[in-house]
Amino acid sequence: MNQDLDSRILNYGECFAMKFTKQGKAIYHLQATTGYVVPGTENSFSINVRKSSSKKGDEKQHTVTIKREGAKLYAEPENLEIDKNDVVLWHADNPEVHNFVISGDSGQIQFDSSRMEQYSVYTHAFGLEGEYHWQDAYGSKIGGVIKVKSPRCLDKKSQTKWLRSLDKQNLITISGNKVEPAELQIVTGQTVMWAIEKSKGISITDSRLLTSKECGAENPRKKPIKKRKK
Amino acid sequence: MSDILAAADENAATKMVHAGQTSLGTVSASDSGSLGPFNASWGASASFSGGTVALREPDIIRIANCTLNYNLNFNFSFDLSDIIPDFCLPRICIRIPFIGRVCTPRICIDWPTVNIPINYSDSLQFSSDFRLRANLVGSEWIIDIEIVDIPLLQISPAAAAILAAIGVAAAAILVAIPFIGPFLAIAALGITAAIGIAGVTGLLGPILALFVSGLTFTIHKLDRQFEILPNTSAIDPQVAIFVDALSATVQSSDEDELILEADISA
Repeated sequence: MNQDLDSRILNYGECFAMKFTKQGKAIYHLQATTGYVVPGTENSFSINVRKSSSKKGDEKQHTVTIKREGAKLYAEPENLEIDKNDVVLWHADNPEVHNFVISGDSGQIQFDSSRMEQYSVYTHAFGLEGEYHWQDAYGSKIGGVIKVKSPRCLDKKSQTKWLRSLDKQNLITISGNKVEPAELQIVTGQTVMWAIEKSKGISITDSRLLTSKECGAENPRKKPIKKRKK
Repeated sequence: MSDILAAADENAATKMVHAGQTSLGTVSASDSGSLGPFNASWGASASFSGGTVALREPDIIRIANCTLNYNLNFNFSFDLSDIIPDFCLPRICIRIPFIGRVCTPRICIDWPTVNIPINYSDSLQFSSDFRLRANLVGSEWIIDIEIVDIPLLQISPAAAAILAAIGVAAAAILVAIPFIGPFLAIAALGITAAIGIAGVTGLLGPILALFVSGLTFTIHKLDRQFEILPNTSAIDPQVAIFVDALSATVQSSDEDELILEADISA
């Protein structure tokens, strides 16, 4: 099981979620690498965002499972009908499904799990002890530290205590250059959720995975993604 | 009476045995066997050195404290799920002010199959009787000594050391497996407990026995045909001699001696 902390390429144990705030039909693709795919090609899936029928605060979450058939990735369900302001969460259902990117276009906005923008969420379950200094691989100045410790469970009681601690809520919010909190202490097996309120396209990447060039690189996509004209 | 008779006392016989050990060099073998509940594939090499020789009638060379130097490498693999229980990370729900409630799915951890390689070198001493044997092989007479019985090998200290090495190696390999941290100590203990000293002995004993079973040192070689100069006159031509029969025995007179007797013909 891949344990790299890197939202640019998702793996089992990680999720990408997005809140859809505009009506319209979004077409998205599942890829094994980063990079935008022109909509309309094969292996595309859809999300039809309707006018909201629910009250504010009643927004729903829809979960899409990423599966693999041979070398091909596919989403289940392939097509979703959701209300405006609902959240869609993508995840892999087994460790054999690794290295995937979700990228799509709703006609009004583009979205890409490898470059997260407004109303995106990335989650990562930490399986290995250590100190994880994360940053944005695209060069913004955001970053933080996750300190992961492993308790030593030598008996059933301590195992149970540890297992009960795994549903702890660990949330980091990002709004522009503001990261809250910048440091978190968790135990092995806990999940951290990054929620992005405002962003021009960022990643959550372990600094150790970045070359020095990447660390100092300017964001190659300097401008925010423009809305497509109809 | 034999045509040629050569005698070696215990000191000379000791040198012959040590030369035979050197000549044997390093022997190796590989196979697979049981390591407690696991199946292990192994490769091993061994060499012999030292020991003191005592000669016993009629044809026994007793070697005391012969050193068996060995190197053993083996690896075994197992499904970690057999040692520690699979478990699932729970579903986590967080209400995010600007997004709403987001819930992660339950993520189940199926422990992988783990391969643990071990390399271990050690030596042990044993004493055993060897029987003298003379054989004509091709154009050479070979004097061998062949072990009579499989000696008792004290492998308990080695087994304990190997078991400890398995524990250390297992911990080093397991530590890199995601989510195992809290189970690490239990998993390493579980592996060594499942194997136990008996498991290591069950693997090591037959491997070392393989090297000593039928152990043979060649202590002397003699060409069947060789040339000698008669001692009657300096101008007489050299004569080709054939060794027709050769025997090796131990005889006791005022001291124990290794006796080689040869019948020759021209």
